[in-house]
Amino acid sequence: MVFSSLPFLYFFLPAALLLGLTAPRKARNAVLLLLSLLFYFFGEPRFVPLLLFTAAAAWGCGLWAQKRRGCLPLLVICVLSLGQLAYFKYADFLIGTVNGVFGAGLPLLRLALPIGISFYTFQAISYVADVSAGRVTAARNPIDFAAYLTFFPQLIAGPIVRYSDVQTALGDRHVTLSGFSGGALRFCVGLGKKMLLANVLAEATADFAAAQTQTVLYTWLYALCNALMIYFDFSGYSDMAIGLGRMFGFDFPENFRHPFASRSVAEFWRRWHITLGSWFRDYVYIPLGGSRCALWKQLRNLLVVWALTGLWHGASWTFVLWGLYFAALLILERLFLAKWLARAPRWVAHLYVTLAVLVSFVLFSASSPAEALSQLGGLIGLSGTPLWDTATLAALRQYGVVLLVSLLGAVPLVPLALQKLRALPHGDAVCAVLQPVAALVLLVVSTAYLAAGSFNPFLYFRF
Amino acid sequence: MKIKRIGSILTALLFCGVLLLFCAATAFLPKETISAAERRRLASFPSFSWDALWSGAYADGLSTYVNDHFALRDGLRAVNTAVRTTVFRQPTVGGVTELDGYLFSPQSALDERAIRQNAEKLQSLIDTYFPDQTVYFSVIPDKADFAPEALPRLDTDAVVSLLCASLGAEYIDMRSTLELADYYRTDTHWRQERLGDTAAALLEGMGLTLSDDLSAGTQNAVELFYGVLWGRYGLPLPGDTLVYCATPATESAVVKNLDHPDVKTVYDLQTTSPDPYDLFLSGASSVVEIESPLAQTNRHLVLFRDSFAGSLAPWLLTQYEKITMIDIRYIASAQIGAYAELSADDVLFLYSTSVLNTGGVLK
Repeated sequence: MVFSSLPFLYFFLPAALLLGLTAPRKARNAVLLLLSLLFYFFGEPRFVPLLLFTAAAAWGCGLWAQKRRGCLPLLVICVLSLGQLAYFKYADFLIGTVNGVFGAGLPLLRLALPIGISFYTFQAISYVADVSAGRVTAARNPIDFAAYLTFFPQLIAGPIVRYSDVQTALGDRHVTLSGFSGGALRFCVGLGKKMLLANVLAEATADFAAAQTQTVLYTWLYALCNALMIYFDFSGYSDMAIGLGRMFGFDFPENFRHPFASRSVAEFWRRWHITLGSWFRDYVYIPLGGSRCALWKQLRNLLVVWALTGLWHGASWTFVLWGLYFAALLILERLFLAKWLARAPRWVAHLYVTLAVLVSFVLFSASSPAEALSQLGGLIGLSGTPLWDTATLAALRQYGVVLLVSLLGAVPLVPLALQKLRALPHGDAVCAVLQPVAALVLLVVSTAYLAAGSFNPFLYFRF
Repeated sequence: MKIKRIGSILTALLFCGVLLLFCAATAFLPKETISAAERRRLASFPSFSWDALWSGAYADGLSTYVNDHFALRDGLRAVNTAVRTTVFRQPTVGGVTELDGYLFSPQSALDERAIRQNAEKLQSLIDTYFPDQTVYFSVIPDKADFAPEALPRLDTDAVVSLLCASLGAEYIDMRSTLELADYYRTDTHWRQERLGDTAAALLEGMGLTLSDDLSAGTQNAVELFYGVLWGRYGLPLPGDTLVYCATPATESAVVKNLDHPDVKTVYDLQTTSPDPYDLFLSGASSVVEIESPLAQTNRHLVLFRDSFAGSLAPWLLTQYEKITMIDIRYIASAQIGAYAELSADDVLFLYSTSVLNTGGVLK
């Protein structure tokens, strides 16, 4: 089940809010667990046992790690979690690579990927690692722990919530009026980002793929729409997850902070998919030595982390290349580019990040490195197509305003405007009126888009 | 602080109110079985089985059911179209563009492979059934060709060129006889009462002359015809008036329809189809034979066609004693000899660009 669906919004969510918020305090986590399992069952009934197995294994390893500090519990959960990830997500990638290199002709497994496996396995690993390192105490109650790992707002597409983020709330949480209404507004904003922007930008990219001639201007339009689509899709989902968490009394970590306002790629990654970046930093980069080691080791660490980050996003060489592309940029920034960018005019730095990110997402979305190269060549006119044609102009007419709104939404314009508004006399009163109006309009219009049967798959659903 | 609290209360109330309102309305309002706007049967509540539950089919069925029966669905679809067209200035919604009150659904990508594949299929019909006969073909342009503003549209000239290059048949060009007003505003199809010049051009191409003006007969109107594009667009635009023309030739004609054996008349006024345009020779039918006792010749026309020909064929009744209409979207080419008489004086392939540009539809 995805959040941007009518069955979730108008049947599951009201029931979940009713049951989750009115359940007796002692039974709250059990109710949340049942609701989360029902949510997962609705989309992937076959993989509910796998989810429960992962939760049980992480809980057991956590207790074990608490009793006997050492690497073994962490090793066990890594083998179990990464093993299932390798089997379900990467087996065909490995087989395909072996077949390609050695001509082995091994049959592909063609396994269905359990929804959210990349997220909940990482949460399981981080939990045992944190207990092993003494950063958190292990959960005694298996229901509380399972409620954390399977909690439906963050189950299938993050943010990657760590146990320490919600440990207190799992034990005792209070849902306040301002928390609930703030969560509702955040959920509606995320839903609006997904339905009104990301899905329409997805239509634009689909139109580009179907176009007879991919002109230079059309390729630029595609690159912009594609990058913004990925941003609004994923950040919209994160907003919905954070909003739902708040409605149930949990504070999830932020996952996006206007990454397109960055002035370096390093800053971009501090603002984009923050919980994934910090996961790799804390559990891979720093244990490898981080940046407190010889320069060649620092560079090696960056390459390892970014190859893994790419691979986390998808089992294909384009994702590995995508990760290594960012590694290359980050290495250049570490060597000299960051200093140069700091001295350069702001617009130069912004332009550099924008171009770097546009190129990266062309690679991210391509079905093969060859297709990515062809599209990148199209950006600079190497594909031999004209600058524009009637189909390009029609696409601009069709998506121009959505693109403009998306561009404005991708930078912190609205938060700044609201900040200024609040500083005015009666600004708080205006904001207090705007909040329910915005929530209502976004919810109803998004529902209208859903009812119209808009194309609606979540991009991060299968990660 | 007080005003902030009021804002929070309002937000929470409105959010929960909208959720509960739509939930209750969807659960308790009476359910339709057919969507008139979409011309399809709506999903029924899925039947439960453990297998379906475990495979996910039951959950999928429930999702489809909720989507199909969601409260105020058509109204919400209108909101979707209104927001897209007015706020986001998107000229096309659901693949449909509105210009000057006309709805267009232009296909823009020319599928050369599909056209060649369809041409091969038509050529195989010629080779199999009409090897020694002059066969004619004509192409019906999409109404986007006549749009008041340039729309991304299928290149009809390219379609014709590809067919001329690969089909051993004589081309009859009737495109110059058509204009935007010859099509319904809310539908893809053309208007029967305005096809006089088109019918004359086709007959002239086959060496005949149109002798009877169908539009001079009784023009019967079916009010509030909401065409297929109307449903896809979503906004409640005014409907069309569907017109069918009755003359002594159409009244006396006897129809034999392989798929609708009870219907004997040119106009199927009892049709239960959700598409009113199906009153023309009962719409989608594999083989239809029309015998015209008032024909001025004893010629036999075999017409390979799509849905456009249903409203055109009555124009030809005074020139052909018998018209056999075959739609190979609904019957395999290899089988038509068993169901239709193919010894014809004239053979015509009459297809719209949208069918020709789609692969795999001709069997």
